[in-house]
Amino acid sequence: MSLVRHPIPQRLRTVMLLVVLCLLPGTGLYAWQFGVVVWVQAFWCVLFALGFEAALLRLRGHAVREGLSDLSWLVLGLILARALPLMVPLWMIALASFAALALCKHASGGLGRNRLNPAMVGLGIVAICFYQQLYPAPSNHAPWTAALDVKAVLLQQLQLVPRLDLDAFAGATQLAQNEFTHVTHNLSGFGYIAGGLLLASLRVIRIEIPLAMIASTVLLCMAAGHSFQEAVYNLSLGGYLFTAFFIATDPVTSPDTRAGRILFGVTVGTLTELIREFGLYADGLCFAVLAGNLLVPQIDRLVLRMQRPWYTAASA
Amino acid sequence: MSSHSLQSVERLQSRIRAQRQPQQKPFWRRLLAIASSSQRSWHGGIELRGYKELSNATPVAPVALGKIQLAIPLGRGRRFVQPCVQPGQHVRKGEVIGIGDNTTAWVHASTSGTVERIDHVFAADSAEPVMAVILNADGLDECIERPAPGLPQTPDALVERALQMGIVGLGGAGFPTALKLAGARQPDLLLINGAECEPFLTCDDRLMRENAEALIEAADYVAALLGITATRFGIETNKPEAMATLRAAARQARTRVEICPLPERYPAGGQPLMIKSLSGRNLAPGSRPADIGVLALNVATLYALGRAVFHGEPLTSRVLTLTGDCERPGNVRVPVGYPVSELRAIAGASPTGQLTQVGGPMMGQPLPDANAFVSKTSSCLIFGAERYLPAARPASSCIRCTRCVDVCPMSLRPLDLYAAAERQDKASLQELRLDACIECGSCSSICPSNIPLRERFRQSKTEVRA
Repeated sequence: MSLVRHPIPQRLRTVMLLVVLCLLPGTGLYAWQFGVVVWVQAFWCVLFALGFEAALLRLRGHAVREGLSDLSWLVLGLILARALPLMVPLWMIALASFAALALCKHASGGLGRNRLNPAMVGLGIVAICFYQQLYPAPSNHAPWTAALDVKAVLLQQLQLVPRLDLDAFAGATQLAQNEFTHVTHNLSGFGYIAGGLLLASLRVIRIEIPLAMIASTVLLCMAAGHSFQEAVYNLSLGGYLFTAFFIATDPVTSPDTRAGRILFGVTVGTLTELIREFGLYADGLCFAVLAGNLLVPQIDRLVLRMQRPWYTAASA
Repeated sequence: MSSHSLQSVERLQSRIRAQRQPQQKPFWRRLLAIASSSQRSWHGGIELRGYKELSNATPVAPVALGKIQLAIPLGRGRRFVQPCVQPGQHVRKGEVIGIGDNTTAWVHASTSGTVERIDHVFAADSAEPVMAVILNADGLDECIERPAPGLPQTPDALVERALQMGIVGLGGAGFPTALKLAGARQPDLLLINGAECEPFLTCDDRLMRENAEALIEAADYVAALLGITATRFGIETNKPEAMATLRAAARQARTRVEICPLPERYPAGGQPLMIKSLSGRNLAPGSRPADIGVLALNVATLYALGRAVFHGEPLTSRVLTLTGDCERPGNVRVPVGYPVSELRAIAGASPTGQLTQVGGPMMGQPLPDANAFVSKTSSCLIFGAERYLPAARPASSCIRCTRCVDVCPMSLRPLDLYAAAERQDKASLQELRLDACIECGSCSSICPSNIPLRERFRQSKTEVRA
């Protein structure tokens, strides 16, 4: 029995399960808009994450069953599934999972020791190496994948049929059919906000990171000459809200103190907006988060130097 | 008036003036100070389940003294006194059985009887056996006749009295009160710690409710003798009765003793935090309260000091809480050296097969031995503690959730400290202020990965010093 009066989720596994639970509304909405492909991709990612995690634990000489019991592989799989663009081939999913688990997490010494966010490392490697394949990514304007059934999705992922021409679906068809008036909003964002707020109220994630990130992006977007509506709309594009609430908030790769987390959020938000405005990539979140991760030790030291604890000051 | 006291008054006045003069702070720091809620607040800490209601309802009861064997510890830690009795010698209650040097409080027989031998036994709150006088009580509880001592008229006389009457800090540290009084030559603030922020403990609560007048009298006396200008009692808000009783007593005695509420947050009674809450002064790590003009005493210590000063009574008994899984929980006034097994029978707890926690659940430790004896610093026995304490679980990896940073009352980063301790990185440990850690255990109790943070820090502190 805990002595603490209002215990917040106590055990590692509970924390991980809560994250999974809070990911579900957003993922569900996303699947509702974009079809069964979302679930198939999640299935593959979780499967690969589980397989790599087990193999790597074994390889490093750790107790496999115990290592798997913390469920961190489940969270990683679900997050990676949502971070990767839809309709990427299976081998790319495997590569991203491998990069996330082997190159990032286990190469750094296991759970809690990685400096970079594993999901972002997986996505980053795929995004850098296979730029041609991935982009232009399907836009929110046309949930063109919604019509695909499991069989079609699997054929695409295993690359057994000619690759769908994304451009034709994403842009030209709509232009031809004059469908731009029926803009579909990215509904999944609301799910992520709800899940993120729930996690924040349970103190699993810290709300200051998404708030600082969103505020800095909106302000910078407006400073770049866009209207407020455009700046806010900017947030609904790509994986912004997902990243703000579920990836940048990863406690392992974010700073220790509140002031540090605000600085971190501002860094990530600013970099995202800069990449979106001027960079090569349309989304840019992945590289902004990775850059922020790399700065975490510096941010921590800066805050340690700036914020003196109360007892070091002379008595007032 | 001697020139000495005039000088001291001047020094006191200059110190008060110096305190009133606000120091020039950078603009942004002043902004931060305005933004933070109060000068007297500290951040962090945890809200614990109290379990105070188990034992705070009944008055302090005396314990029966039959023909039992007592073991009176001759000291604690590195401070031990020389025994001055022989095996076979008859002693009466209050007789000196151990004399120390100028830095060790004397030890007295807590009842009448015959000295059996001098041996090493387990005190309830010591990890290793300590030297103790084993006494066969005759059950008569005869007191030694002592001449009525006058009130100590000078600080030096008070120091001597405290040393010879065996007064030590009863809050748990067991530091000789005489040294504290001697070190605090020119304090201007007397702070009485009645926070009792640990769950389960109610001994200070009961003491304050039942002996409010004596406490106020003792506080006034100490303050007057040492030239202290302000006296404050700090009491956690979960003890409204104690606070009301003390307020009434202070009003009746027409003194300016202030009764101040402390936040109901563990560790509100930790020394730097108590001083911060009551005075706004900052106790830097490594410095003593005397360095910032504060004399801090625990309520039980103050009560014992009062008995010694006004009645010439040495410290031979203390109030101890019996609580947890037992039939008759409550507080008892128990002679020092009383066997824990007898207390178990008094409380009506099952004789064996249970974990007994000595002291509070946060700062205390399990009973080292079933045949241990009560020492001056044992404050509480929690029987069947496994029912109340969190079960020990194996530690897993740190996921850097930073909850330990949230709860650390000293604004440290336990997770980084832990990593530095694992690396044996002394420079980092120093930079992260390991020396400021008060070992309250808030971080350990909140950690979702069950990492034994406090134990690691204790170990690192000794490693850094070595």
